[in-house]
Amino acid sequence: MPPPRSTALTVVAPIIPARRDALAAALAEIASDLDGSDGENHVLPLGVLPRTHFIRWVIVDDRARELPPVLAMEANIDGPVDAYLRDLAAVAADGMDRLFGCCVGYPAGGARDVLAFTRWMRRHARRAEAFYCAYRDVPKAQVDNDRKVHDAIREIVDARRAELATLPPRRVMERIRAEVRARAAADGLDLSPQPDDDDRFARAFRRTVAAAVAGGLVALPALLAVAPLAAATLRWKETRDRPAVFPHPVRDRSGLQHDEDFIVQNQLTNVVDVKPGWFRYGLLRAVLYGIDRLARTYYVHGHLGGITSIHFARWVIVPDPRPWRPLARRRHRLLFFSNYDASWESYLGEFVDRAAGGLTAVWSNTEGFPRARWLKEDGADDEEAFKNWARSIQIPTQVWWSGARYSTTQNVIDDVWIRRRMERDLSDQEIEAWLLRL
Amino acid sequence: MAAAPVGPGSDVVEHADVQALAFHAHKHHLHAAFVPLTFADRAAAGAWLADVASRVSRSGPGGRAPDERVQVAITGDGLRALGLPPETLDAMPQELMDGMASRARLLGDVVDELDRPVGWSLPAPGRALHALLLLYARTPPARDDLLERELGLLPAGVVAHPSELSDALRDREHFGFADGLSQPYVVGQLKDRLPGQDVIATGELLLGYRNAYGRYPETARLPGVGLPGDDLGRNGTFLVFRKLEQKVGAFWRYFEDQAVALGGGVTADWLAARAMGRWRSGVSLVHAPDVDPAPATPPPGANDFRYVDDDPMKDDRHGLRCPIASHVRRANPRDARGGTPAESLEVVKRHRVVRRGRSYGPAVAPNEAAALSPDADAGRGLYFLALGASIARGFEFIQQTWLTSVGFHGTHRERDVIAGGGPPDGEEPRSLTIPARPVRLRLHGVPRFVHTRGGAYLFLPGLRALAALARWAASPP
Repeated sequence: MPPPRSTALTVVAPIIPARRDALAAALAEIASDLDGSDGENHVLPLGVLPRTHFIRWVIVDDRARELPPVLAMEANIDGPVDAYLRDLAAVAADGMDRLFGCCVGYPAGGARDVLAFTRWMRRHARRAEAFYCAYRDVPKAQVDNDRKVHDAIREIVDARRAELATLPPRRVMERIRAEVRARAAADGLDLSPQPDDDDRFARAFRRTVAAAVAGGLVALPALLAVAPLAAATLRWKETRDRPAVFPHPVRDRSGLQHDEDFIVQNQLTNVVDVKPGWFRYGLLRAVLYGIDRLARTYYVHGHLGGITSIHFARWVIVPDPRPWRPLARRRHRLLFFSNYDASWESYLGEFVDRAAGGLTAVWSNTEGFPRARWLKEDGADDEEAFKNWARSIQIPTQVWWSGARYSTTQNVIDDVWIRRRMERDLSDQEIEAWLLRL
Repeated sequence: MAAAPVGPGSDVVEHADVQALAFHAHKHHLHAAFVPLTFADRAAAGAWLADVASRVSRSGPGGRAPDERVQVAITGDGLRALGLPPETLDAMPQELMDGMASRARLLGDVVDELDRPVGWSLPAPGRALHALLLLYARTPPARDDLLERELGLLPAGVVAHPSELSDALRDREHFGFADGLSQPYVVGQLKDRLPGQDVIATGELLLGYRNAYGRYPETARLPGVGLPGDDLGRNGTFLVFRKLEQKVGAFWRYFEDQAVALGGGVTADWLAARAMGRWRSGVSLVHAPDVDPAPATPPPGANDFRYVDDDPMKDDRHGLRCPIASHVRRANPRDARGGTPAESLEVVKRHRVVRRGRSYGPAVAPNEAAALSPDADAGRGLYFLALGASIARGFEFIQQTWLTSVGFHGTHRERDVIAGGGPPDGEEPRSLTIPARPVRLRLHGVPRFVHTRGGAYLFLPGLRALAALARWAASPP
């Protein structure tokens, strides 16, 4: 049976202005005791959520005070959205009512009216323009199981090290395997053999490339016809861009840092206006589409264009809710959610060091970004300006929950890699590599 | 709108305007005193700064150095106490203005439930730390004499805290290991480059010069006091000062106990070298994984090595020679940080600091350390001093992302057992994985040997800037 797919669920719903404070209070209560273990969280103990890697709720206020505040839920889940929403209604109906009940048009019957609830949530779900996971299609249950298997192996090696060190590698592995098997039933470990998924992703990547080539060939005449105009338009717009100016370092006045660096990961929520007009909007969507295709087929194991620290990240466009406005005056907003390892400084540093081009291609289509050239040049190369800009568009996240508090992306990938090989016939070389990774 | 940076294109270091400490370790001045100060009165602080500025040592070409060296650095609170305008204070880095204590959790120090550091005595509780006077001399009497003279010159409005006195400078820190081997070579420095020394841009150390990104970082302006371009930052740098107590007895007792428990010819020296990543002599485990070839002094070229090599006999990407989680490998991962070796070196160059540390407390021979009583195993450690143009991208990054990170380069839930801090003992066992064939070794539940006793983030201004600060505080325009 194929594994459930990694799924990005984003729900963005306008908040009833009079209920904003009640919503903030409910979120604060959740944040004070995330999994409900201290008995302080009567709203929504997050430990009960099934198939959830990371989840957050954020109140997105409009700094220009033109647009109503919205509540955004970012959930990184396994499998289809409908089944997940039904489960939410089943295990967390009261919590859902407390939170989304503060939003416009929430069903009167609440989450107990499962059909109305799922329909309302679906109506407010926004597609991720691009969605990345470091361990694509590895379900949460497997992340947990494989970590336990790896931990068991580590304990066994610790306890038996003196004896194991005298054995040839193949015998070492056999001994470890026998001991883990002996524990499996009592500790609830799943050791069933599982193939690697490289081939599946490689096939998907080849299909993507083939489709891109075919599509490119079909559209070639049209592309050639518009390319000069598009390039000229882009350069013209880039020279007229007005990057935000930061005469001095952006101060963290919302206490963002106060919420950082408690566990292995940190989170980031960014919101920024897309530059007005259809050209930038179209270009942004095209760039994100490209990133999404690559993230689904190529960047599936541990890095996104060289950035190794992201567990899950997504870009979501929230369109201006005022369709009557002329295009040039509508404010589409780009939301970015990231769940990453280590510190903000290292994460943003990795962006600049390894993926400046890619992120310039995305965010140079948004307001205030350091000046770009040819879509992906310059921009984030200006490290100081980029970090200032990034802090300036970051907003506080009221509730954030991580299901892998002590694992980096590399840890999860190692756990899965080690577990998958546990019950396989390996060559001598493969056994040495396996032992080295424990 | 920010003024254009002063002097783009001119990267010739103005040594005469740079405090000597930036380029000189004062190695011939074996004895140091660090005097924490509080500015109780602003005008008095200004008058004192103007006075001491004439004695501050500036960088310059070699020759016989004067017998005394004086440097002055000011904290974020100190800049506030001098009454600088809000625009100037806002333009200083946030970490400087917030202060080291507010960053304790990020640095892996022990904190209480309000994120306040625990176990700090510097500054003393309730006392503000505004400046640090750094004094260096050749002999203990000369140092004491210099200290007494400088204390005597303090006006009533500048209050000295108890002085912090260093032990005689040696090339070993208290655990017994050669230290300070991997200083970077800063473009524009006066000393020649050593073999294996990586080259970093002037702007990584000094404000006003091009940094590793090829940029001139924004710096604070202070108008009306005669600074060229009103640039307060130019030729200045930031100083990280930390007092780290080292439990030398506990350190060697631990490794001796572990060596006995492991048996099989494993020695305390061998184990401690895995934790540190080098032998006590300073020889890298990459060069000599099994025995220390030069127990006495670090041989030339001890710092000249890489972790990744196409030749499998020399390659150490898996840490079979020098454990990936060892202290020196975490603090400077060189070519093994990820990506290609060349990419890794480029990235690592953006996170380097210039170190100026000094030990304090009586030295103890490693073979006698394990016998130290708990009472005698106190009051000794390291004044950690590091300089750089960005505390956040330099010192804090190294401390947080490399030393304290529990997932550094694929390690599993381990911190640096030497300086990685982490949660209080007992909350999560500290461990060290030592890769080996056929299976790795792991030390589990390693106690803390290094305890932070205090510290500060400071601005080490250039000479002109120091005089300008004095003028401003004495009589703001």
